[in-house]
Amino acid sequence: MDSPMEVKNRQLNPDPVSCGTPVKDVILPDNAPKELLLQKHADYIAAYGNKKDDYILTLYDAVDEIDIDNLVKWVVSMQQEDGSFYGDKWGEVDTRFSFCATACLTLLGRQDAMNVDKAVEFVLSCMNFDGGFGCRPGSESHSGQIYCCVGFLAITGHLHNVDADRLGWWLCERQLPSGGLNGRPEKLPDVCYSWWVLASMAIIGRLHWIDKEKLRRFILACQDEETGGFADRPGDMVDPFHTLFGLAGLSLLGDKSVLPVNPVYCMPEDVIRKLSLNNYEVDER
Amino acid sequence: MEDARGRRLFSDLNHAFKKDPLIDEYDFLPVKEPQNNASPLLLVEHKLGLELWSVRLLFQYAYTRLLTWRDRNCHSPFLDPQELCHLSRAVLLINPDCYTAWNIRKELTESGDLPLTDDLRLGCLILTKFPKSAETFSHRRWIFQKLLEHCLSSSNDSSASTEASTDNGGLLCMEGIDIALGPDASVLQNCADGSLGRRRHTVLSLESSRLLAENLQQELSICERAADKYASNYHAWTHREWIVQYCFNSSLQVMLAELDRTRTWTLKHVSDHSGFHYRQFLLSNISRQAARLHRQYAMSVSSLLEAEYSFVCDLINSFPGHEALWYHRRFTFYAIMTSRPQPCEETRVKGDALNGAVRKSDSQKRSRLESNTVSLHIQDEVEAVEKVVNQGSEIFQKTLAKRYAEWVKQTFPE
Repeated sequence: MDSPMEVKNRQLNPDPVSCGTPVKDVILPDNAPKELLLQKHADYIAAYGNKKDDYILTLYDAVDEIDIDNLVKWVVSMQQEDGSFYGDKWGEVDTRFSFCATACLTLLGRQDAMNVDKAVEFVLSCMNFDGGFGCRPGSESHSGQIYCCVGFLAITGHLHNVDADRLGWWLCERQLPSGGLNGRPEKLPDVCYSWWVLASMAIIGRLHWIDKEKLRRFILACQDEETGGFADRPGDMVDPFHTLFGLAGLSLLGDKSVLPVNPVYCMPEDVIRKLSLNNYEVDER
Repeated sequence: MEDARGRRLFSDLNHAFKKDPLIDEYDFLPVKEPQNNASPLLLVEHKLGLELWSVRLLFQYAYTRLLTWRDRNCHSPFLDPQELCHLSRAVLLINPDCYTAWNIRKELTESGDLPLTDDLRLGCLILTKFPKSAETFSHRRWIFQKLLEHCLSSSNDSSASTEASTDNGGLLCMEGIDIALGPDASVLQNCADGSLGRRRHTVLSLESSRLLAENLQQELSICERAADKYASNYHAWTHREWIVQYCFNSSLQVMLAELDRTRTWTLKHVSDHSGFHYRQFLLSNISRQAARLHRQYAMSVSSLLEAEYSFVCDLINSFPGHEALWYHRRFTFYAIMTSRPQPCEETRVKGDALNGAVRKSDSQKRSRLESNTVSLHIQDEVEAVEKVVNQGSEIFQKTLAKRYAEWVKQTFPE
């Protein structure tokens, strides 16, 4: 079942202990967790914070609680002439905002309110020679930004503009000997990139280029056995952000004990299916 | 009780800044418990130290007070602008990614209660402690937009061209503007270039443009210092790119100077992919002005690319096993291959390193302009790299070389 890339990965990733090279990576401790501690994570999240109502309206099918027209009007007002989006009235431009605005409008069924063609034009102007994307035209490729741009292109039906092989290649080079993924060359692995990188690869149909078992081991090693929750790296402090992306990453890797997650919206597949939004093209080779 | 201590710490902090407005660095001192009755703030030679135990108390006091005011309900306290400046300063020195605090300062600036230069100084100070603070850089971009607008509007007041140049995006109008600068402020000279000046010429007032020029030069140094303090500092390098693009209007003179300056820097930071990407950004932008480069500097894009290619190959030999270097080699090789006239290659290879992936036709135009002497061939490149693989070189170097050879073959299929 091994794809050529998986085989290559195994050949190319040297053993970090024996070679004494400048590879920036971590070594998984022997006693790191190897099983998924679902109940612990449920307890951890349940005990965290007190404003859960704010972010679960869509999940609970309660978007009519929002003044949708006003919200749409505001989001659309953030779009600029060149197609980019401001994050707020102060005028910062970033491809992250293109994704957030578009995802938001699409979840509300109002993508038609924005200028999609212009928005696509701007996001594509942020594409680099390596196939990746940065925050603004000419900016360095960054896995977080890549997720936003690829997600944006999926939502707007413009994935055909992505060179899936070239981008997939760059993304799968993010896997380190520990199995973890980093976000850019020569950075440390981090559980949140299990989401940004993996979701991007899923969207462009190149998920099978990753060594899944190694990545799974890395993610599981980042759990806190006492408190529940995931950290960025083994032994670090856990937080809800990395807990979400750890679990969502495991779901993409096919863990059956977690609900299937939608790689574009980072929400459960059945919620997205209910909204009839799951219609992006995947070209799996 | 805690509130009273917080208030005292807050007042101590304000006192420190009053005593020494030129504080240029600060940090938290690893003192976990109050030692005696003395203030936990230490001020020596423009350096400020805060004992660690006091940081949380100070933050809670300032943050709660600022955010309670921000709620703007009937119970909110009235705070005068100066106190708001001080409270937001205290919050940001400890948590610079609290953008509500930065936004309050934007409002204070717009109401005329906070000079832009004060805010620039605060951001500069914060970056000494938090060199990758995204919100600090974002706030600085807002300040520079303001500064540019200020220059433009003051020039509009004093010149015959009264129509605001800010009507289509402010900054972008820089290309149509003449700036009267002293000889030491030649960094903005590009804006006076006649070839871009089809739009209405506006003469910026001497004072505001000098202010801008000084701060822009300093901004590049601030970015460099932030890059020194934190490896592959995405926000520092993308900010530097923004400054070059929007404030220096992609001036050739500035970009060539930056290319020169970062050469030394990258030599000392061979693992810093962001630093190398900045050079890729410069080379790509310079290549878009190939004709002017030739006219004004008698240089060609291909000679710059070739120089970069030998530079990175040398680095790879001298410092084996650095992924950033091999990625940079990919860029230079790709740029050279896609910028020379090989129509069959161009159509097969989707995209173009120099001008982003979606501007194929530009690169074809350019390559016709510069049919040059680049002697690179795909096969030679693969063979050269395979030599590295076969030699008894360091193991990770071999890995990277293999990946590179694969990449060349995939990207330029025969």
